[in-house]
Amino acid sequence: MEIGQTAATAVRLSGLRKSYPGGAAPAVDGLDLTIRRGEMVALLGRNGAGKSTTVAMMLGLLEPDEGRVELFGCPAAQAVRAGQVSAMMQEGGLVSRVTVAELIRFVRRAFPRPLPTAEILRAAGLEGLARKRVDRLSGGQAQRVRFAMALAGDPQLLVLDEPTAALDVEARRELWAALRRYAARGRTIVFSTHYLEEADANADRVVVIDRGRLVADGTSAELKQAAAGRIIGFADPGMPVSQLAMLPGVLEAETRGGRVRLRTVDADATLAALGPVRGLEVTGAGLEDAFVALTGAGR
Amino acid sequence: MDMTLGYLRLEATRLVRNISFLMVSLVTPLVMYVVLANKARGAQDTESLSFLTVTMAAFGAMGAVLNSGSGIAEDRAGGWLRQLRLMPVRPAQVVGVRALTGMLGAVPPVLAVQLAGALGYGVHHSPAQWAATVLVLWLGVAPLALLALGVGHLLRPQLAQAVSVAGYVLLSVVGGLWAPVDKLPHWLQGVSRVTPVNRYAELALDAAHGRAPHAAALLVLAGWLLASAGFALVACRRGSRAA
Repeated sequence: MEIGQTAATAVRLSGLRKSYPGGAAPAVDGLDLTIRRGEMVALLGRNGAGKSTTVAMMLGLLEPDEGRVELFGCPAAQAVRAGQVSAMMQEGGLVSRVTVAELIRFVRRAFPRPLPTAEILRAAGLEGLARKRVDRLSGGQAQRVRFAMALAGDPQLLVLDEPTAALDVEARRELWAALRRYAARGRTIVFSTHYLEEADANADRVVVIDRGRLVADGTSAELKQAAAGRIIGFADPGMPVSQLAMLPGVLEAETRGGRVRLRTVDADATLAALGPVRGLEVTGAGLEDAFVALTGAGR
Repeated sequence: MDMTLGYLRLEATRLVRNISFLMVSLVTPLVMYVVLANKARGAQDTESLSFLTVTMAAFGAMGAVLNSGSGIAEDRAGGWLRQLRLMPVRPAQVVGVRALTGMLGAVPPVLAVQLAGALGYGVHHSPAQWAATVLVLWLGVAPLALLALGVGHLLRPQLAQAVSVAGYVLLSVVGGLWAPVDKLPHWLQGVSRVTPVNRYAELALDAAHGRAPHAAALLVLAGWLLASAGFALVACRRGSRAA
């Protein structure tokens, strides 16, 4: 049986735990996650939430203190050796004194069934740069090369750690388009990000990580609904925040710039108790509110 | 195999484009050789002349592989080794290819010093002796190439560089590249005999003079080859995880 050709599960993390020497709290604290083949999953979390540590363990770069990592039913290192997996790490990974074409040619030779060179260069937006030296590229161009290297081997699982960090708006759009085309071929994609919009717009499934734990897992619509309820905004009537927070249904209250913002599970009850206010606005909470609610980032 | 050749091609390309490295590793031993050989020729000391033709080539080969091996620390700092680890590339392939490219960098200084000896200073050997000398000078440097790679895998770039330069100077003196071992203090001679540098130079000198190699020299060098290959492999596994 060839590795990965039959397993329906791309990634299985069970009970992952990792502490760094000198770190007060564990970086990853009992994480369970199963990703099916063909899913496009965002690992969403603040900086320092444990995303990069999770990714490093997922790829076999870091040995977990506890727990197991399986990629296509095998240990991570075995899946990597079989050319099933490829990754674009947050930074680095390029090499000096070679051209883009030379680097891609090397990566293609390393993998058993690589993509055609022209397709790689097109997908990464590197046409016209093939003969340029890798160490003489701009930051954005270098990021494209890193993406091209991750793509070149046509891996079943593509892992990207904060892939858009060095990119401008246009390049980001192109990267996501290329990733969606890649996913459409039935490939599994896992990316970490601290940008809510990226997770919202590009992932089939958003996994929220905070303080090394998985705090939410679902489509972005599900997360918004489950976590956040509704937002009521109105002109500040001069009521103390502590009193606003006591209103029925209110989870969170804040005043900012002359306006009050209440997050509530029951907008009708809150408004009835509040009485008449000026400049009223009631909206569904966005993913950002869901994120704040889930991770306690605002507290 | 295809993978290994592709990687070798990539690293060889990088070597050929590293002009400053190639110049330094070529010019340093050549200048040393010319200075010392002029002195020996002035004193009509043909014995020293033929000694230096071998040992300064060894000195140059050693400089090239130490510099190249410790240079892997920079690749590690740049995340390149971690990237390789995320590809279907084995640590043994990384170590083997890097050791071999380090040794390719040793070819120019070895050839340059041999040519200078033959053409500039009238050092005489049979064609077979020249060929054997060049071959030994090239192959015998392998343990040092692996040793430097191990150091480069474990240390930060600047530290790796410092350790390799210090090792270079120390080993070339203790190994007897500047003067025959019997001119060293007695206690140092014993130490010298177990260094890879000394036995490397001994084998190359024997080849140059058409003598059969000593079993002891072969054994010591083979021991170093195995030990340093193991060290480089372990260091590579450790070093390319983090960073």
